[in-house]
Amino acid sequence: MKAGILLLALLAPAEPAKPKVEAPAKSSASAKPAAKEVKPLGKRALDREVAAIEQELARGVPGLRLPDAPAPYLATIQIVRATVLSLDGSYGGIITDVIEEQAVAAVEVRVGSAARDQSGTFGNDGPQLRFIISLEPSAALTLHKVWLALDQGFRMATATFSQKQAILARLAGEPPPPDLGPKPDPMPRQAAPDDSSPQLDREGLRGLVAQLSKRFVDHPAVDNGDVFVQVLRTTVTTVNSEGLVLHERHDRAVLAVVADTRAADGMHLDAGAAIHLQELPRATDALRKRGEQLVEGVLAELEAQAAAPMMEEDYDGPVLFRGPAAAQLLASTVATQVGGNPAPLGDAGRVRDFEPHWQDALGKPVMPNFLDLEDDPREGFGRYAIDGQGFVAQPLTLVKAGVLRELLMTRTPNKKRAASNGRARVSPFLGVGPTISNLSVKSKKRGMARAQLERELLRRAREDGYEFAYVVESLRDNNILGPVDREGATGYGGGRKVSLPLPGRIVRIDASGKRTLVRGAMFSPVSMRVLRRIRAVGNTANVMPMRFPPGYNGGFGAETGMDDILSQTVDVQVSSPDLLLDGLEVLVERSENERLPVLAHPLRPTTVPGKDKADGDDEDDDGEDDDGGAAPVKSPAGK
Amino acid sequence: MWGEPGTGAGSRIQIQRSEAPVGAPSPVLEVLAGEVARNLGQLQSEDREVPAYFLAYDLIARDHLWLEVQQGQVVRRRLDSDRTIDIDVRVGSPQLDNSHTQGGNYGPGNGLGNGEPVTVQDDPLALAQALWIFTEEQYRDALVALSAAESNEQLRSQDEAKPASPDFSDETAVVHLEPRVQLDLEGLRKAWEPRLKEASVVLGDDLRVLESNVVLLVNVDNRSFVDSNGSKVQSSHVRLRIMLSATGQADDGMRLARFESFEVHTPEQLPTQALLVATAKRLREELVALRAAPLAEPYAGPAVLAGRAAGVFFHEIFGHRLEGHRQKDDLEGQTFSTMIGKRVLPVFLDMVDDPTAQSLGGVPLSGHYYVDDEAVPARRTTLVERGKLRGFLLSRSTVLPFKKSNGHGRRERGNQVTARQGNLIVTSRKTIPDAQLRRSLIEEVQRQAKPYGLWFSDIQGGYTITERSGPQAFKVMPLLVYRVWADGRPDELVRGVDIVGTPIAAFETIIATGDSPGIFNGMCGAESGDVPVSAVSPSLLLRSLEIERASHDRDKPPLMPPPEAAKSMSRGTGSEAR
Repeated sequence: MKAGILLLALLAPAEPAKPKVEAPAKSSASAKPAAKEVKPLGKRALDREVAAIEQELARGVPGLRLPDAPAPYLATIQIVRATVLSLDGSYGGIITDVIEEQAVAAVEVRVGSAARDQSGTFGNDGPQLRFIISLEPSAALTLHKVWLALDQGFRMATATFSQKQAILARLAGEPPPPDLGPKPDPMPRQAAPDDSSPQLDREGLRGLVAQLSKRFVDHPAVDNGDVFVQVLRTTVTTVNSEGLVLHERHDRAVLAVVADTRAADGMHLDAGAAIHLQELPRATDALRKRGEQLVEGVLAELEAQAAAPMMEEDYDGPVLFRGPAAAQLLASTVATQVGGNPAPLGDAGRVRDFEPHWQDALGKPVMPNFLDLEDDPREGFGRYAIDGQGFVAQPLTLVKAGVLRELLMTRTPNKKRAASNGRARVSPFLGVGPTISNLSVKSKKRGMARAQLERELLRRAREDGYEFAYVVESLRDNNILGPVDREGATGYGGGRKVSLPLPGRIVRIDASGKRTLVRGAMFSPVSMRVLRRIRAVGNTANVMPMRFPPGYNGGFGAETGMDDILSQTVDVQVSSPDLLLDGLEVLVERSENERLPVLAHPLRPTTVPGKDKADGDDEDDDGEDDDGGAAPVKSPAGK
Repeated sequence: MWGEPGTGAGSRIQIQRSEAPVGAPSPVLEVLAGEVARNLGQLQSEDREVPAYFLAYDLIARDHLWLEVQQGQVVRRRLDSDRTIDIDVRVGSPQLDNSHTQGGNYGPGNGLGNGEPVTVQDDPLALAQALWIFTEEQYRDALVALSAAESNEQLRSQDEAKPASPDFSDETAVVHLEPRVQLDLEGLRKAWEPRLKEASVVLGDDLRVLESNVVLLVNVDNRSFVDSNGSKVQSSHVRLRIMLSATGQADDGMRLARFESFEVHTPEQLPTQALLVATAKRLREELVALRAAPLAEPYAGPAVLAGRAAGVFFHEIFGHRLEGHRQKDDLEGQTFSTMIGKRVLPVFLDMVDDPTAQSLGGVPLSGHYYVDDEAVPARRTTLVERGKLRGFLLSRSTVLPFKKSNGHGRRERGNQVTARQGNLIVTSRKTIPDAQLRRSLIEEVQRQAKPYGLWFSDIQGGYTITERSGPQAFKVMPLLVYRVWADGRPDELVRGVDIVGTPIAAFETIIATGDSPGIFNGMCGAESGDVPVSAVSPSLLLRSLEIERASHDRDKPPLMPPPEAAKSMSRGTGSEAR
C-alpha cells in the first residue's frame, strides 16, 4: 500500500506536460504552435491522469520508430469510466440486478501524414486497441498502460499502412482524398468534471421493475416479457498529441418494455418501447405512471398484433408514415446516408457498400423542393456542445429546397468536403462516426390534417389500381428489440438500396373507411430516391428522441438490442411531420412458422389433450384497430 | 490418510472428510418439484408422439465477487448475484436417448443443460413462466437430438460381443439437503482490497514486468435440484480464489508468464498477507529470471516432475482418459477402455478420485462435493490399484460392466453433465525422500550418460488428444524448468519448452516418487465446461521425458523504454530496466 502511494507521487507530474506537437500546415489562419495552446488543467485526479497521458504522447509520437516504417504523426487516447446499473424483471421476478464500474481505454496511432495515413482501410479504422484501466484515475498506472498501448498501436498502424499502400499502388483512377482534415481551432482543453460518485436509486428502481413486470400477469396471451431499467454514467476523456483534451460526462437511462408472443398460426411476434432519459432517474410516482403506460401500451399492441390477420398480398403504391413512423423513416435512411465518411478501402478497392448513398448527391435534388432538412445540435435530445474530435457543433442545413447542401462531416475528408462540421459523435463504448444530432424536416408547403392526408393517400392508391392503402404508424425499433428472429423477415440492402426496419404497426385502410391492423408486412429495400417521392406532409411535427449507434452502421435500423442500448448508442432526435410517400413496395413476409408450444403457459389453463381447437379458425382475426381488445388465448396442447 | 500405512510410502498425511451439514429445505425446491410434475406430465401425455421420460431442473444461485488490482489500482470491482436454470429433458429410453454421444457432441443444443438466467427471487410465477419457455425449447432440441442419434445408430454396425452401454443409468432417488450458505462479499471486498493492492505493487515492482494483476474471485453457489426420479438436492459450494499473474517479454520476443493461485473454501483459509506478498515477490523474481534464461533445446532424458506439476501431469494425461463418456464415443481413442484389470501404471502407484475429501493436510481440495450434478452421492472411486486399472470416472452415462454412476457427473452451468475428475489422488508404494530426489535424478542422468536432467517445478497446464483421429499424444506446458547438470554445475533455469509424449510410454518410465504430496487446485475445462478440481501426487522421477521447442512469437519488446524508466534515468536515480 505504502509503495503504491510512493509510486503515484513519483510519477504524477508537478505540472501538465507540454506536448511537442506541430500544428498541421495551414490548418487554419489562427493556428498557433500547440505548445503555446496548452493551458493548465485542474487539480483533480483525472487532470493528473490526463497530464500523464499527454506526457507519454509527447514522448511516444516522436520516439516510436521502426526502420523503413512511417512515423507516427498523431496519437489519440480515449478513456471511458462508467457506472452502470442494469435491472431486468419478468413476471414480478428480478432476473438481473447489477451495478458495475468499468474503465476502459483505447488508442489510435496514425502513421504517415494527414495526406496519407493508414486510416480508412476496411476493418482497421478507428481505435484498434482497447485495454482496461483503473476505476479511479491513476497517473502511474495509466502512464504505464499508455506506453504499452502506443507501442502496440504503432505496430498495428504500420502494418495497416503497408497494406493500404499496396492496395493504392494497384488501383487506377484518382487518388483518394486526404485521410485527415484540419484540427479544431481553437483546440479545446477542458478541465475534468467533478469526480463525485453517481447516486443511483437501485432499490427504488428494482422495486419499480418488479412492480411493472408483474403487470404481465394480466396479459396471459403474451408469452414472455421483460421490463428493463438501465442507468449509465459515463465520462469519456479524449486526449491527443495535438493538445486536445475533452471530457464528456453523460447521465443516461432507459426504461424499456420488451415482450413477445405467438400468433395462432405460430408466427413469432414481438413489441417493445422505451422511455429514454438523460438523468440518473429515481423511482418516482411520475416515472412509475409512465412505466405503467409503457407496459400496457406494449402488451396491448402485442395482443392486437397476435390477433391481426396476415397481410394478404404484396403492395406497390403510396404509403403514409404517420406519427413516430415518419421520424423513424428518416432515422433509418437520412441518418446513415448523409454521412461524409468515404467508403473504406478493401483489397479490391473502395468498398462502396459502406459509402453513404447521398455522398454522390451533393448539389442535387434529394427531396421535394418544398422540404428542408436541418440538423441543430444546440437544443433537443441530441444536443451537444463539442463533438468527439473537439469541434464546436453548429446548426447545419443539410437539404435546402430539396437540394442536398451538406454532409455530416467528421475530421475524415471526402472528395467534396475537406473539413469537419462537428458531427463526430462518440458512443460510450467508443464507437465513433458522423451522426445527426437533432434532425428536423421543415416544409414550405402547408401541411395536411390527418384525415386529409388519408384521403390523399387513397386517391393516389386508386391511381395505382388499389382500393386500399397502408398507413405505417411505427417501425420496429431494432435498437430495443434486437434482430428479428424470423428468417423470412430479414431484409437485405446493398446494390445502392437501403433496407428499412419492419413495420411495427401497419394498418390497411380501405376506401370504405375500414381500418385493419395487419401483420407480416415488410418493406422492399428502397433507393434513397424514395425521399424524392414525398408527396405530402402533415401539419404537425412528431418529435422522437432516439438512441442508435453512430456512423454508417448505426441509424434507427441498427440492431443494437437492450444489451447495448446505452453503451453503443448516442442520443439523437428526429422531428418530422407525417410523410406521404409514393411508390413504396410493401411485401408479404414469407416465413415458415414453428408449431406452437406443447406445454401450457402457466397463466393459461392446461387444456385436455385433444379437446382444444386445432387451428384457431374461429379466433378473432378481423384485425380491427382495436387497441387493448381481447386477444385469443392460445391452447397449445394438441397443436 | 494419504500415504497408506505399511506400503513403504513416505509421509502419512491426513485427508479430512466430514458429513454434509443438514439444512432445512428451501421453498424453491417445492416450486421446482411442482413444475417438474406439471411440465413432465404434459410431455408424457398421450398426445406426445415422443414423450419425455425424464426431466430435471437444476437451479443455481450465484453470488459473485470479482476484485482485480493492478499496480496498486483497482481495475475491476464487481459484485453481483444471478440465478440460472439448467434443464435436462430426456426423450427415448435410458438405453438410447437424446444424450447419445455422436462424434464428440455433448451439447448444448440436445436438450441437456442450457444455463438460462431466471429470477433471483423465489417468485413462483416468474419461475414457472421461465421454466415453461425453457422446457419447451429443451424438449424441441431433445427431439432433434434423439432423431439424429437413432438414425446414426441404424447406420452403424453392432458388435454383439460388446453390448452398448446405456445412456442413462437407473439410480436411487436422493434427498440431500445442505443449509444455504452466505458470505459477506462486500465485507470481503473491503477487507481484501488493500491487501491485494499491496501485493500487486510488489508484483509489478520491476520495470521488466510488463503487466501484472492480482485478482480475488469469490463464487458462492446455492443449488436447488429436482428431478422426476424424486431426487431433491440442496447443496452449496463456496470457492474463493486469489490469483497473481505477471507477464514479461524476453529480448527475443518470447512472452513469459508466471502465475500462482490460492483456492480455498472459506475466507479464513485465504493466505496470510505475508504469504501473499512473498508469493508476489517470488513470481516477480522468477519472471525476471526467466527473461534472462537461455532457450532450451529439444531433449529426451531423465526428469523430475516436482510437487504440483506431477498432479497436473496425471490430471491431464491420465485422468481425462478415464472419464466414462470417452470409453463410449467411437471417435475417442479409448486408450483404457478394455484395460480393466490390466496394468496401466507402474505397480507401485495407486490412484483414486475422491470428491468426498475436503482437504489434505489442511490444504483445501477444490474438487470436493457431496452430491454430483445428477443427484448421485460423490464416491471415493478406486481407479488404479498397484498399477492395475480398476475403474472409470462415471456419471449416469455408465460404461459396462459398470452399471451405476460413481458420483462423478459434473458440469458448469449451461452444459450437459459428463464424467469429470474431482480430487484425483495418487499415492506411491515406492518413495524417495523429497530431499533425495535431486540426487536420484543426477544418478539416473549419470547412468544414462546424459549431460543433464530436467526438473519441472511448475506446469501451466496442457492438453491431451483423446480423439481417435489424432495421435494419442499429450503436450504439457511447463512454466519453470531447470537443467540439473551431472557435472555439478548449478541448476540452470531454461525457457521455451513443452513436454510431449504418449501416455502409456510416459507412465512406463516412472521410476520412483517423492514422499510428500504436491497439490494442484484449479479449474479444469472440458466438454461439460469448467469445473473446480484438485490433483494430488508425489513428485515423480522419470527415466525419460521428452521436451520440444515451444512455439513463440518474435515480436520485438516495446520499442521505447518504460516511461517510469525514462523519468528515473532523467533524474539519475532509477535502476536500469533493460
